[in-house]
Amino acid sequence: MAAIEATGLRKTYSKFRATAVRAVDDLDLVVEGPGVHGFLGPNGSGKTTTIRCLLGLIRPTSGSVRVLGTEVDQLHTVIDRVGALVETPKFFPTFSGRKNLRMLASVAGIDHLRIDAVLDTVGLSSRAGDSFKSYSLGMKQRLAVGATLLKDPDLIILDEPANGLDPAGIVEMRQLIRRLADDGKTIFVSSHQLGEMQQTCDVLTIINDGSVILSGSVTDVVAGAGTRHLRVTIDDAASATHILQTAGFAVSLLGPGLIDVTADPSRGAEITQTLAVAGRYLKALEPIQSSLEEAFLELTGEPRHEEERG
Amino acid sequence: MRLFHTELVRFWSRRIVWVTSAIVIVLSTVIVTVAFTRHSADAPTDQDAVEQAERATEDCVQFFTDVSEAERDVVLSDFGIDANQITDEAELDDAVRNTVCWQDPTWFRAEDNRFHAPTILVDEWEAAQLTDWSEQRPDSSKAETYRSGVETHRRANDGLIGILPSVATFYLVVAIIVGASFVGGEYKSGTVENLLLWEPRRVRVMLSKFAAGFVSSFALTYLLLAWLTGLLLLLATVRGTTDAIDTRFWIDIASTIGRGALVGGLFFVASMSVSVIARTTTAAVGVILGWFVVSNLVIQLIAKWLRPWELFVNASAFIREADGIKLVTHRDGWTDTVYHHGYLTAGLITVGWVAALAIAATVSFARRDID
Repeated sequence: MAAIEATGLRKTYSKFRATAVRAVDDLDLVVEGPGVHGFLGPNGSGKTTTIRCLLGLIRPTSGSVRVLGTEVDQLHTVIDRVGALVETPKFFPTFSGRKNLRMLASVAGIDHLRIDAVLDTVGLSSRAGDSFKSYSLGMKQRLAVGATLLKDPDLIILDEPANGLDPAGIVEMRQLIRRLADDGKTIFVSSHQLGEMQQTCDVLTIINDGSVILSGSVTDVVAGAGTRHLRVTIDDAASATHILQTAGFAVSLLGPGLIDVTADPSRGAEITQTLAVAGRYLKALEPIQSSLEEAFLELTGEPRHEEERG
Repeated sequence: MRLFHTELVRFWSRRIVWVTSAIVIVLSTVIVTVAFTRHSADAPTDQDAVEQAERATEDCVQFFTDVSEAERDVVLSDFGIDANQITDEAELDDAVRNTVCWQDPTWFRAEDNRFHAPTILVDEWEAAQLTDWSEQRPDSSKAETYRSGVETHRRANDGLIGILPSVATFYLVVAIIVGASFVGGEYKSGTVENLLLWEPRRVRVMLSKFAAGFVSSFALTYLLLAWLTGLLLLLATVRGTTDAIDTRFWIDIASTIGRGALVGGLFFVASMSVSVIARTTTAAVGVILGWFVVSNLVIQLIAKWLRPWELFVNASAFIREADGIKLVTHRDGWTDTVYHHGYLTAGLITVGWVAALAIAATVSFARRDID
C-alpha cells in the first residue's frame, strides 16, 4: 500500500471574473514507504497546493487522493498516523512553545510526557516556556517539526522544513529526516534546498506547472535528466572542436587541450571514432556527473543563476 | 470531548478575555465607587422636610430684603396685609416671615438619596389603564392583543434590577469582541490550519468551538454581572437600603443575570460565526456593530415591520424581561410602540438568529479551502 497516492489531481482557482488558474493539473503521484520522498518544483509549480490537497485543507477540483490507503475525505481515520507541516509554522503567538504543543496533544489525546521528548528532539527544551512570538524563524520551524512528531506518525509531510534554519540547523534537519526514515517512517518533503534533497532523499518527484515531469530514485533522476557532458583531453583542442562540431556535436572549448562535449556518455565511442578518423587521438574521455540542481533546472526550464551556484 | 476541552482551555488562556474582563471589572468598580459618594446612608425624615421648609422661608425673607419698598408692599397686599398699618421693623419681619414666606413642611418631600437594592415593579396593566391607549389602537383586535400581553407583564423601573439589564446589554460588547477574535485570531495566526491537521472533521471542529465558546462566554458574562451585583448590594448595604429584599428579589436577580449570561453566550456564537465567514476579527466586529446601526436605520426608514424580529431588539427584550414590540402608525401619523410578543419569544427569536448564523458559518467553514 502506497503511503500517498494521487491520481489525476487537479485544482483550479477562479476568483470572480479573473482568469482561472490551474495550480495542479492532472497530477499523478505515488509515494511508497518507508524512506524519504522529495517533492521538487519551482515557486508556483503547485507543490504546496498538492500538499494541501493531500491533507484535506483544500478541495481538489477533480482527481482522487489516498493517504495511507484512505480517501482524503476519511482522513480522520488515519490522521493520528500523519504528521504535517505546511509552509510556515502556525501557532498561537502569545502561548509558549510547550503550551502550543500541549494544546495539539490534547486534541489527539497524546500523553503530555511526550511533549518534553519532542522538545528535546528538536532542541527547544530550554526555550519551551517562552512565547512563540519571541522565537526566531528557525526556532519556530523546529517547533513546527516537533508538532509533527508528537503523534509519532507513520507518514510525515514536510513543506519546506528547512526554511529559516541556519546551516547547522539544516544539517540537523537532514539528519533528523534520515533518522526518521531509518526508523521506518515515510517522509514526503518539499524543499528548495536541492543539495540537501540530493543528500537526504531516496526518491524524488519533480513537478512544474502543476504536473509531474519526472519521478524516480535520486540517482535515476540526476542521471536521466541532467545535461550529459563529456570532457575530452586532447592536444589540438581547437582542431578537435572543429571536427566534432562538423560531425554535429555541441562542443565548447574550455582551454588548451580541454573541450566539453554535450552528449550522453554512451556516445563516447562515437566521439573517439570521429576524432580518430580525422587523425586526432584523444588522451582522455571523462563523463561529467550532473548535479540535482542541473537536472532540476533543465527539467523545469528555470534559468541558471551562476551567482547562486557558488 | 477532547476538542471541546482544548477549546475551553484556549478560551480561558486568551489574553483578550482577561484584558476585556479586567476593563469591565475596573469600570464597574469605579462607577459604583462614584455612586457610593453620591448616595446617602440615611432614609429621609420629617426633620429633613422641616429643614427644607425653613431654608425656603429664609430664602424668601432674604428676597424681600432686596426688593424695593413698593414691590414689597404690592406682595404684602396680595396676602391681605396693609403695609401702612405696619408700624415697626419687627412687625414687618413677622408679616414677611410668618405670612408671606411661610412654607408648610408637608409641601416638602425630602429626597430619598439612598440606593435601593429591591426592585420597584410597576404593573404594566396599571400603566395601560392610566393612559388608556387601547382607545387609540388602529383596530380593536390589536388593542386586545396589547391588553392581554401587558396584563401578565411587569416592568422594573428602579433599583438593582433596573440597572442590571442595561449593564448586561453593555456587557454583550465583551462577548462580541471575544467571540470575533476567537476564530479571527486563529485565521490571523494560521492555527486553524494546524488544528485541521489534527482533527480534519471540520463540522466537529466548529461545533466544539461553538460549544466551548458559548459555555465560557456564558460563565464569563455571569461572573461579570455577579461582580457588579455584589458591588451594588454592597452599595445598597452601606449607602442605601436592603429592607425590602425578599425571595422574589433574589429570583429576579438570578434570572436577570442568567438571561444576560445566556445572551452573552449567544452573542459569542453570533460574533464567532460572522468571524468564521469574514475570516478577520476586525471585519466581524465591524459587521456586528454595523448590523446594529444599519438594522435600526432600516427599521426606522423603510421596514418598520422588521422591528419585532430584529436580533438586538429581541436580545435586549429578553434580558430585560420586557416585551418584544412593534411600531404602529396611527391614523393621525403618530407612531407608537406596542406589544408584539413576550420576553420568552424574544429569547427564542434571538436563538433563531444565532442558530442561522452558526449554520451559515459551519457550512462555509466545511466547504472552504484553507490556504
